[in-house]
Amino acid sequence: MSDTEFGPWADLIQLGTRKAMQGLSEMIGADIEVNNLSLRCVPVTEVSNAFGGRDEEAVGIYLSVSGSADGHLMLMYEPAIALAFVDLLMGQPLRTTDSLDGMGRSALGEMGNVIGAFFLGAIADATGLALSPSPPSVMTDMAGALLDVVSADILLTQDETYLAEATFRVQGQDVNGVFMVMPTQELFETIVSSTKVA
Amino acid sequence: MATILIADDAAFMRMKSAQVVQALGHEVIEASDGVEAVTYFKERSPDAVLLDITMPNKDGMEALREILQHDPAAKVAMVSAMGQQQIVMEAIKTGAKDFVVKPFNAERVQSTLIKLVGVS
Repeated sequence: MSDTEFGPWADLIQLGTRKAMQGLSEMIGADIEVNNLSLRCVPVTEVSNAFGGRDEEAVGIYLSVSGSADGHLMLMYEPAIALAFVDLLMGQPLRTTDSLDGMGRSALGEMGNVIGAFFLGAIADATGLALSPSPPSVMTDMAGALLDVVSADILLTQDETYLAEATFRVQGQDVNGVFMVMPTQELFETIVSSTKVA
Repeated sequence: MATILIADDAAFMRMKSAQVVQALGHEVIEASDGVEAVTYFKERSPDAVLLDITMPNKDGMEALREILQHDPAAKVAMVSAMGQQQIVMEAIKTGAKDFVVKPFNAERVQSTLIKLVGVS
C-alpha cells in the first residue's frame, strides 16, 4: 500500500470507526472512546491470528458489505466481554448475563447492525459510494474458525488484505475487543479512487 | 389504551419497543416478520404499527403496501436503519405516517406513538 493510498484509507477508517462508536454510544447510553486504531496490510492466511491466537474462544458479529464493492466487517470479543455488552444493551447490571441465549444474540446482532450502518454511512457520505451492511451473524467459536469464514472469501481474489483493528474504552474500562474492517481489493481500490474525486 | 403491533425480526428490538409501548399504557402485539405483521394486522386491527423495514419472508415495504390495501387509514410508522433514507421516503409517499431511525431511542418511539394514537 503506498502512502498516497494509505493516507485516505486511514482517514476514512478513522472517520467510520468514530461514527460507529458514536452509534454504539447512543445505543447503550454510555461514552465510548476508541483506544487504539491500527491499520496494516497482512497476508490473508494470517488474518485468523489477529485475535490473539486461533484457539481463543470468541464471539464474532459478522456483516458483509455490498453495493459499490464488497468487503467484510467483523467485531470480535472474548465471551465475557460479549456478555457484558449484552448487559449494557439490556440496561441491566454487569454480570447479570452468564450465557449467550437467543435474546443476547439478538442484542449483539442489533449492536452489529448499528455499528455497521454508522461505519458504512460515514464512508458513503465521505466518498459518495453506496455501501450497505448485510444482516448480522452472531457466532461463537474459536477465533481462527470465525476468521476463516472471512479470509476464505478474500483468498479467492487476493493474497493480502487491509486489516483495521480498533479497541475501545467503555465506562472507564478497556474493552478487549477488535473491530476489523477487511475490504476486498476491489472495495479498497474503489474507496481510495473515490477519495481522489470526492 | 391503544393496541400497537410491533413488527421486527430482532427479538431484542421487539423487547425494547414493547417496554416503551407498555410504559405508555398500551397493549402490544408482536410479529417477527412481514408475513406475521400483515396477518396479525388483518386479524386484530391494531390502532398503530411499528414496522421494521428489513425483515425476512416479507420486508417492511411490502407489508406496508398490503396493510394499506386492507385499511387505507392504517397508522404505520417505519423503523429504519441509517442508510435507508430512500426507502423511508418511499414509505412516506406510500402512506406511512412517521418513521423511527435506529439505534433505538425511547423518546423518539414515544413521540411517534403519541403522533399516531394520541396522548396515552
